[in-house]
Amino acid sequence: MEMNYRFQQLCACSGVALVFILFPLLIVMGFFPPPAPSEGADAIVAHYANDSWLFLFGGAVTVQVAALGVLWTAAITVQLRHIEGNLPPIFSLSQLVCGVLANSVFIFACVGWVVIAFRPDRAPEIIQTLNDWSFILFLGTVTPLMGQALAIGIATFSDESDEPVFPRWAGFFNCWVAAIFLPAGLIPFFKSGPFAWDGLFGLWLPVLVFGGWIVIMSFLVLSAIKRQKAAAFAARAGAQ
Amino acid sequence: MPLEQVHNRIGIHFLNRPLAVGAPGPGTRRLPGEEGIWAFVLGDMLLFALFFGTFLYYRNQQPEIFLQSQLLLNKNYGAINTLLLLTSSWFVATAVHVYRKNNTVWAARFLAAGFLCGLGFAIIKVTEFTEKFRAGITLNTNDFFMYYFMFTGIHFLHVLIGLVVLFFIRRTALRTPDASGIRTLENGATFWHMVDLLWIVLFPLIYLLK
Repeated sequence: MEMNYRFQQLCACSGVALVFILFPLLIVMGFFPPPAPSEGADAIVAHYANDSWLFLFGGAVTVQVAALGVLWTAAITVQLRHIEGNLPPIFSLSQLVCGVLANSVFIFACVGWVVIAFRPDRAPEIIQTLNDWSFILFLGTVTPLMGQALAIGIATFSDESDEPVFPRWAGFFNCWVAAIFLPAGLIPFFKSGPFAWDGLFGLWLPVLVFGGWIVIMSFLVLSAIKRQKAAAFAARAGAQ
Repeated sequence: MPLEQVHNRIGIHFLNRPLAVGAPGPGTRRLPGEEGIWAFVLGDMLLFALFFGTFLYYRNQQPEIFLQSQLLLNKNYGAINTLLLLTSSWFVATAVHVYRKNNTVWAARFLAAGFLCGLGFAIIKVTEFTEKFRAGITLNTNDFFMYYFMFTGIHFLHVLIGLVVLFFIRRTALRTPDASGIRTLENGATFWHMVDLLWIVLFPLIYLLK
């Protein structure tokens, strides 16, 4: 029983680990700010040519650490199962599927950067195409993340127990997070300005809120696990 | 003095007491809904505050284009929509008020009236967008129309979510009022007032500002 709760805690922490590995990597790779969508093919090539080994390394590592996000999703899924109890597991399932999809999309986006850095001497148009592909996947595919946040939010509202798994404000918080992610889904329509993939509403706000969301939810899950663990051990002690 | 009396005196008793059924007594103050919805509303208004700031910043970069493009907007649609949302907010506020006084039938009727006004807003908004598209004006026409479509579009999405909220709290309103029912109605009404408030800033900013 101890092992089970320990691993749950590990999964919850993996979200924090993901944020603390991913963000420094992306900053080192020069994605904050990223190459502007309005730049020509040659400027994009120059962006990658300077440190192609760095992109190869950074991209290859991000592809692997994405799995931490799946573990985090698993920890959230267990908590939503707690909320559902004996009811059909619709919140935990939709959250799980959305979380896995979001991580897959993220891996595909990172693979684009790895492919660019794998043969940096390719024709500029091909590099630009891969760059477009990666950014539109990375930021433009927001519905899985929005679905995940909304599933957590609605599940929190549905929690009728005397000791709710998540505090009610977490429900509103998750709905707000979904609202902040929304404009990132519109980046395909813009090559410049705040809604483009290098703009305030296309990049900065969603990415910062994403980091904060993962960390805050990790701590909420940890505190829920602590309570559940204490209750489980108390119940076992009582049964003996 | 007991802690509860102190809280009552400074008006923060909502923090540690279940919501009372019935209208609040004279001299007492209580936060409608729950803290969470207010945090959400403030968070959402923060996003829109950034929208407003962005709009003003880019407007100063190219004032001519913004002024000329603004002339192509239909101010009547904007004005009618402002009236519709204000009326709708009044209906919803009244619905909460009568619900607290156990008048479930009229609460549901007022909410339905609020819903219909909101629906009117949505219909006019869709008409307005369609007219723009027919005239060949899109997101990519210029910066003014990009912000016009994005900001009013995201606000429109809030209106649609608000309509779903009104639909569901109307069902709650038909139940006998209890603390949870009042909280649900107040939460929904708070969200709807925010949608109204955001439009009251958006309308002059985009349609009227000279």
